[in-house]
Amino acid sequence: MKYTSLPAFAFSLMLLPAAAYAQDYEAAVKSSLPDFAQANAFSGVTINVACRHLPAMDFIESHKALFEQYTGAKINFTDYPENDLRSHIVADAANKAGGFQLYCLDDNYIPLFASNKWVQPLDSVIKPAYKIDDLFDSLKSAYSWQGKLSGLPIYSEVTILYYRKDLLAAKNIAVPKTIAELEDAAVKLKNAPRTYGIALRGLRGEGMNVYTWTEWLRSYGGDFLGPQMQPVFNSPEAIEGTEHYAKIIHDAGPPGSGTWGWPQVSSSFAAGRVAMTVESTAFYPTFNDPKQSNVVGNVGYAVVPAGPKGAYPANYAIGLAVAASVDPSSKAFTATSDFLQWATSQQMEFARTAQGIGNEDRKSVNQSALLKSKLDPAYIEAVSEGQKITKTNYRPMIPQWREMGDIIGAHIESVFTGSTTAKDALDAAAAEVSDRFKTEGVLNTPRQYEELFPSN
Amino acid sequence: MTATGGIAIGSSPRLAPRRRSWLRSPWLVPLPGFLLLAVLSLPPFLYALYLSFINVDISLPNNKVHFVGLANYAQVLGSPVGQHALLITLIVSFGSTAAAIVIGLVIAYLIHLFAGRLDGLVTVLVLIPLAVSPVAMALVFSLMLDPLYGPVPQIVAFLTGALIAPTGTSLGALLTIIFVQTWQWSPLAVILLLGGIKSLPIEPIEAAMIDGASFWRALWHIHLPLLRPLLAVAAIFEFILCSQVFAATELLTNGGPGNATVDLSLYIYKIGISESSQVSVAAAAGVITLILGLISTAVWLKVAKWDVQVYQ
Repeated sequence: MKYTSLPAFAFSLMLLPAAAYAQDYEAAVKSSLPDFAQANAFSGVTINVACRHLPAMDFIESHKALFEQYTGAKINFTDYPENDLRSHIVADAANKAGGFQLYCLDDNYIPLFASNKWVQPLDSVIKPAYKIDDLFDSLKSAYSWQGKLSGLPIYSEVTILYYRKDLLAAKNIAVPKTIAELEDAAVKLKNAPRTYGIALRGLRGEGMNVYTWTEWLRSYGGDFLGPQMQPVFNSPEAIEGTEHYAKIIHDAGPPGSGTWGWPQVSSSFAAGRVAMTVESTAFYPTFNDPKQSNVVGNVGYAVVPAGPKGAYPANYAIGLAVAASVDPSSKAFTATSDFLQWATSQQMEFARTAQGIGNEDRKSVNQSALLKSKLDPAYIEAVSEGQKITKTNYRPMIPQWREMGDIIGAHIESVFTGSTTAKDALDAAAAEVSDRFKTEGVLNTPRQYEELFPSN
Repeated sequence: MTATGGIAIGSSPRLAPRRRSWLRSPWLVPLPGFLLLAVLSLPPFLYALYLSFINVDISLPNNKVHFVGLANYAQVLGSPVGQHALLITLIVSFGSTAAAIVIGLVIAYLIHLFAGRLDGLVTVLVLIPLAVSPVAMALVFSLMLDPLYGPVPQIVAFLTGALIAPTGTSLGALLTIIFVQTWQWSPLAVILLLGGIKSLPIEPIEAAMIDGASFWRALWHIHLPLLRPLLAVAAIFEFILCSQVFAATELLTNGGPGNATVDLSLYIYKIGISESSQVSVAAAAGVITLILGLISTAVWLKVAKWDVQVYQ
């Protein structure tokens, strides 16, 4: 007994500080309630949330009882599959059905929803306790439409360069800082058919190939739209960027990877079949989970490589917004906006980080000792730097973006598979987008956002 | 008739009281069925037809909805993406129908000639693909053809040294879709044709063989013509099944590379729901698909002459 209990006792002593920390963060979530809402003020109010499963969302859902007990409001979460969520929310918003008070929205839906007045502006109700300036700046502007805050983020990501430390060291290759170095390293690291140099997204889609291809477009100086909303993403710079993206897939990517989406890209890196990838920070847990990854301990992290015009990490965020059907003068609106701020507060984010749910939205969490104790410092550095340099209008934040992105995605996929040239594909996409903009009545109207290269 | 000497046969006015004429209408018996079908299928069809002549776009809720004539049809038939989708629909449905009939015929003859007493068991095994859900099948094929983990590219790499990605090129992806459709639906042709082969008279073949015809000549000139009505029926069924592609194009290639395997159904899904919100254009494409289906079936019926007896 004595001999077994002694190590157990020592072990529990070691665990004690960590456990105490987690409890402290939980306690802070509870004790922060008076900063966000009045006690027993919202009895009879029901808040329906249209959302999808995300670790951060599930974490909020598991804490909703605290808010319910404190304020008397009732909160229902309705989880939809990712692809169904949008149509449910659009139907609710467009028909003013009022079925939901909170919508879970990707940042690139904010322009569509805000311009159609489907969501309520939030500027006047943000409380000092929310510490809004603590959010990454790019994230705050992504959730604003024409200067009005239209939602609050619960999840954010940027892209970073993941590389295999062991493979680069074996060939004595330095971590690529430019796209030229990346191309060079990828070809040198290719050892077919066992390992390939790099995997990048090729599959069509605004959230697929366009998400990472835009880095190349921006890095070579390409823009999406001119001052009068005319498509310019078939400019010589854009063609050059697209050719480089296609070339690295062709020269160093696995066969057929011109049609890969993120599932194939991430699983091939986790399986150790590719040496590098430029992917979302969302894959950090996958690559570091021994159950899903063969490369634990060998993964290096860096800011995405730069082209002639600099480095442009992709960004993406998910947040919650208050439906327009909630009357801003009503008790329901106060309850909804109070709950929203509490649910996305700094305290909540620390508590979920303590539970190992990453993807931080706030500078304070990103730079905290808590995060450093949980994640690779090189990764934290890459995220912090990436969040600093990423641009809100990396992709145009306009209501038409999704559709325009999908049109571009379909055409550039055939460049990545070698079926057509970058010029032909981008010209065809530009013509299609022009037609569509004409129908929508936005062609030859002033552009509503700042392009990254204003010279165009 | 006159030999019956005035005794009336059937529903004579003298034996049964005369009913009102509408009660004897040939339309009366199937009327409830027609009504049910009309209630269930006409409203959505008429609504789709209505949608296809106006300009509904979900992402533009403040747009004024008005009559646009044939503009949506012009967009489907006039745009490169729409034309390509039409072409892919024709290639996939005719290609996989032809392949399914040929393969079904070969397998049916093989079972008939060589399976002997095991033919029941073999037929059940052959039928397995019919029972597999198209979604499951598309996913299984996408795993099998995966260049890094799939067995098919691994075997090819072992034999030739080159790792290939079958769905990585436009032609490869199109052939893969046709192959998957053929694999799924050819068993139907097998059972239809096997039944036909077994029921055909053996005498004409025997007579021809006695007259000195080779096995192949007898098969080609006597057996196959006898089988023609069944071949035609099988072809019509196969065409209806093979032209309904969605799981394979959506899950196996996602219409890719680029637009290489986007057929009309996937085009409708993408332009109306998943990538754009032009519901009216999608409705117009749906009507075009329907018309195309009707024309194709009519052409099949005409070409195949399935209701014409052969040696009579």
